Amino acid sequence: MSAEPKNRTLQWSVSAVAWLTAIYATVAATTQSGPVTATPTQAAHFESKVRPVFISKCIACHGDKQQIAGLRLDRPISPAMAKKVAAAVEYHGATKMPPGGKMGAQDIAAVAAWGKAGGPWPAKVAVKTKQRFWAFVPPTVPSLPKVKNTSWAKSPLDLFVLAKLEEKGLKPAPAADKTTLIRRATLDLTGLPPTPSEIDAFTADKSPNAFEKVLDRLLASTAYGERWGRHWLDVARYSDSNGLDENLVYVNAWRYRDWVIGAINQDMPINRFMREQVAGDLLPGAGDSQVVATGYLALGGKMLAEDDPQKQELDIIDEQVDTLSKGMLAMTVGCARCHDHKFDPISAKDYYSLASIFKSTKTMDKFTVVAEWQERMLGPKEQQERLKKVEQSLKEKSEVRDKIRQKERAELLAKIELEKEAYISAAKLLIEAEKSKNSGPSVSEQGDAQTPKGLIKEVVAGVAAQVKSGAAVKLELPENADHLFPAPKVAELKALNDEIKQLNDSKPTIPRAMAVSEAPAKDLPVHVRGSYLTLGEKTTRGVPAIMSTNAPVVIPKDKSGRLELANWIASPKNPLTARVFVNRVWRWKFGKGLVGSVDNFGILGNLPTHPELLDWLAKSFVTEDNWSLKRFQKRIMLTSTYQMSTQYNAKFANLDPENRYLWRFNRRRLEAEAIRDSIFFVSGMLDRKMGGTMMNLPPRAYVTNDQSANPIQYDSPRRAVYLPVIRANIYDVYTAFDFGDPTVMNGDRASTTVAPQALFMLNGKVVLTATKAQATNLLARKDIDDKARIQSLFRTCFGRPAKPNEIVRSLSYLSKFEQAYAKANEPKLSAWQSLCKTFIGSNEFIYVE
Amino acid sequence: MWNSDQLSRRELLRASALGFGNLAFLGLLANEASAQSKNPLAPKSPMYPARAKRVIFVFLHGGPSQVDTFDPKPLLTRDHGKPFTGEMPRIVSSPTGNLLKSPWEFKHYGESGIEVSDLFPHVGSCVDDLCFINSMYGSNSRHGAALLELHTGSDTFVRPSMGSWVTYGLGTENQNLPGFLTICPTLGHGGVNNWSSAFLPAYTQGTPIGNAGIEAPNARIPFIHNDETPAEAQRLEIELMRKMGLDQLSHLGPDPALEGRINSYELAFRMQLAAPELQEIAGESEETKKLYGLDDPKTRNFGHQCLLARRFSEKGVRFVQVTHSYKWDQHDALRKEHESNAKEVDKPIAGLIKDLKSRGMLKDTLVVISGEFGRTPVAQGTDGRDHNPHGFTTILAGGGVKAGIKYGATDDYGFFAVKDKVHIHDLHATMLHLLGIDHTKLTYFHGGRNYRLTDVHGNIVKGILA
Repeated sequence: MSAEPKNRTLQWSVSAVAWLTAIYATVAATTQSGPVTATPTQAAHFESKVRPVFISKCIACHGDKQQIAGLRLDRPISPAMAKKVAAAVEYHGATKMPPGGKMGAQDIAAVAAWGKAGGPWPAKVAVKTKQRFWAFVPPTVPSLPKVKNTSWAKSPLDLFVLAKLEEKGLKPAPAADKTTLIRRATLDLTGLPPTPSEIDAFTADKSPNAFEKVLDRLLASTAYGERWGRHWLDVARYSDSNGLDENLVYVNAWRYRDWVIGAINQDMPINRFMREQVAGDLLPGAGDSQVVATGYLALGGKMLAEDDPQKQELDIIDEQVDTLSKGMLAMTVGCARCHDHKFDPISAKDYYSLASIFKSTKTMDKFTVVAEWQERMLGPKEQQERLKKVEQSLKEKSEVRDKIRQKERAELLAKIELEKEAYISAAKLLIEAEKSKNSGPSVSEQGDAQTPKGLIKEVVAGVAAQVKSGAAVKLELPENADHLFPAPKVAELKALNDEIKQLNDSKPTIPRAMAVSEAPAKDLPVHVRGSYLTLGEKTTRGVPAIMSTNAPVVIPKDKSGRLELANWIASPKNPLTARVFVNRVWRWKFGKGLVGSVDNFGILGNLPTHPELLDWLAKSFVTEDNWSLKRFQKRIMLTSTYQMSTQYNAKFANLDPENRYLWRFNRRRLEAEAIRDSIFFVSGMLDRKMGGTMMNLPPRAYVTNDQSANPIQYDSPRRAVYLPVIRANIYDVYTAFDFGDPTVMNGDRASTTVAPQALFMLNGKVVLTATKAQATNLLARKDIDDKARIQSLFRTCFGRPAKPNEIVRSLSYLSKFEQAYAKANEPKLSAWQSLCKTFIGSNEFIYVE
Repeated sequence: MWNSDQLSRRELLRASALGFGNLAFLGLLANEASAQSKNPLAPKSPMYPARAKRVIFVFLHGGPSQVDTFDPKPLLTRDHGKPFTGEMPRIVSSPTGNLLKSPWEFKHYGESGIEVSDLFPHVGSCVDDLCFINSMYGSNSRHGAALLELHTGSDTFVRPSMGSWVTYGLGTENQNLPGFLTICPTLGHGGVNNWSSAFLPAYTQGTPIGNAGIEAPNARIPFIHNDETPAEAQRLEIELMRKMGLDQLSHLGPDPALEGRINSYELAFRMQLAAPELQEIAGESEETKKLYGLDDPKTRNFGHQCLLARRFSEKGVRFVQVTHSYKWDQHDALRKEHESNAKEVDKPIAGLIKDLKSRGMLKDTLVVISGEFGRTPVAQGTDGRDHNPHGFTTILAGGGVKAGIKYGATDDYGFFAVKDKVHIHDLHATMLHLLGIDHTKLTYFHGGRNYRLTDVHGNIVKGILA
């Protein structure tokens, strides 16, 4: 996905003018009558410098609404007209545009250069490719390719891979040995290494389906959902806090996380999995679990202190559109918020059709600062009803109380207004008294002694402050003035307050989930340049036209359309959903997707390396596996392709350095969570308790402020998937190992090698604690000698027996270490801990062959 | 637990530097070297000759008031207590009242005669080296969004911070240290997102040294140290891991990632010696320490930060940020708190400028001093001001910036930038320009399109270029 800037070598120093001339040199002499098609450079210039000017300055009078002087600047124009536009913006001649005053010099230069060149207009890439672009063509079952090597393939999957290899002059690597295979499969499916006894059982099992038995065992373990659920949580940008501006805890987000893990462990069909996340609450027979699933839509980061509530709402909707379209459809629909998508056939109209569905969905309770997201009640309906009743009477009582208070305050204020002069003189006296004291308590802290009888001391202090600052005097009551009201009113208010307190205490505790619900249906017009201040064409709720299937999406007038959207996404007819999902699975298993850009199947994404294989996988997943991920896992893992070794081949590495065609299995570094879990696992410390929250914070509490982060229990040896994910203050182990930014969905985590990772292995608390435990456990075993201890370390950490020279080396390390640090308190333990550190820090531990 | 004879740090550093080149295996791998094994942090040439080689960003968190510091407004004094007659911003944070004059006097300083308020006498003494942009403006009136906008260019989404962009574009000079350091940064108002690489490669991420809640002398880089293992024991560990790694490589065949990881231990080892050594300021002269105000409890903490910034910059760290923590938000108690805040930073900032200058570093170090926004000339309560992103002052100094000038202006009351307006995007474009980078061409392809620090905006502020 990443690309270094390629145009570094361009002439950086050429002036802007020379640059413009260069861009438009090719067509400057044109005299054709029809619109000129832009070169790619011109198109880029047009999109970045010219079109934005049209949109902001011209389109209101020369667009789809009105075409003054017959000019439309939202579509190609003739060279003659373009030259007129150039003259107009330069204020040469009679027509001067814009009429209100010249545009900025840079804008004029850009538009004029473009116009004088005959107005070269970008070719409509998107529309042209509309029908042909592969991603929008529904997958079909491809015919199986012919291969020369007829003994290698175990499955049609292998045939597709092999055919490609043969076509490119490559050959598959030999099969991996059994110890490598079980380590690979175990880490792949559970995120933990195999135990020595599991390895022994597998190597001893000579039956033809020995590996399948391993897979069944692994898929049935709860660790499987913890591992594969976590993969999906990347796509769902799962977090336990808001991040962005006001970092409030998402105290109930964990319910969604546990829902994902549970769904994967129960092998919920993936179409159902998608449907519940988009519209679980609207499905027939929906219960708490389905409400929790819609947390998917609610978990995004939000600018909770945005002073502009309309902007805030549209940003939240945008986040939902973006996350959903990338995550489920691998389409960057979000790009069409400000203008038609520049590359993919998605118009701003499509964007606002989809956005309208979320506009008609309730995510937030309020948009005023600090904004509040909705948390839906769970549990028995009667309890929920009871709470609603209590809250209703609370509301009523508070209103009564507030009314009394307002009335009494007004009366009291009117009363003291009559004594304004008395207040001012009292205030002046107070200031004098303070001055004479020189350094003493400030005006507002002065004692009652200074306040003449009958006057309210807080009011006097307020007036004094105003007099001091030179502001006009305005009498103001203290914030809480209840005690100053007439006695009967004081009593009445007290009674009300007591009642309110009682009601508050009687509130039933109800579990809640971050979730969405239906809101009044509303269609958004196109927001020109993404701003609600410039509204354009009307839209109706719906899905992007290019992706519509044979069965059109019909949204009832009074419904948000979320259910229809969910059904459309989950439909076997949707050209993208199954393909995108199987490609993600492939990425998580092989380290690289068949479509490399797993989150973007658009025109700027990568083309599939194996298009037929992708189609075959998508079709088999839907029709044969019935969207079962577990079955699909086995479909892939029982192939020769998955079971290849990582064996290096210089010739093939030269032909295909990135291993795009899979001539061997990709060696891969473990992800942050798997590294941490494996460290605790081999040390015997891993706590296998599942689910629940590890945060003990009140709802909506701040998790970070300027100077501190709330203490989050990262030290716990629970599986990493249960550690809180705090946006804007990610666990430092995650930061070091490419966990990424959980504000943005990401199906393709990076794998970098940076110094902080090495520092973690040398100094990290997790490593020190775990290796100490590991060394202590090893030394506690009195039944074995040091050689056997080392052997055990190799088998536990690397999943293989030690070679003789490795035992010798380890023994000599221990003795060297013990001698060098004989004065340490526990030289033997230190030496063993140090040896354990080298195992955990070594490449063999955190890489999978 | 450890009391064996320890090698000196320097000896270890030398030993590890030798050990690093000692990979006989490297020869074997030379033919296979791929792009992955290249060090992405190696210094890169700018796109065109740079005026500045490095950046020190002094961030004053909370919103210092421009009309009380570097943007004097006589009419505000004259019309004190009267209502503001202009059009108020469409979006405001809090209700405000009438015009409030500055409680501080302004004086002319230096040959340039630039006016600075009594809050900043030390900065005043440096005006001939400074460039005051009085016409700064941003898009958002809330701290979180405004911080993110200043640091990343976006007040809406998570985007790479400017330090990350700079590190991405230029790499860094010292391979024993990270390219982008942020000293005692805030954890609030976007926290890590203010120094994160977002979708840029992880090596461009800012490395925090402590946070705003930690006194500068106690601030540390994550995982830089543990109390249990002495350095020479780590040396043994690294040696053994290297042997194990090379063994494995010899039968697996070449793999730049594995090889890179073996080498990363050497880098980490050097970093954990180099970084604490740089944080150890005992070797600085008394005069220098005084220059930064280390002898005064009021200025000691921030002075220490500024001194560290100079030390890291001197050793080739590309982008260093220091943060004066969230103290400048005077919705009330303006007189007392602005006075106190200014006391804490005035001398250290001036010290930094003078120190850089005397070491000949100011000419190619770009110093940026700014809050996330300014404050309103209208009063909030009787002794406070609300947030104001519509007009505020940013100070630049050094590398390629005109010295001793004021650029742009706010209106008569200091509310809105009106003349030669400089948006935060323009500031970013200009910073990159001074570093020899065309802001429209430093791009990164992500999520279906190319991204820039300046999004689709940004104009270089030519009027301040020396």
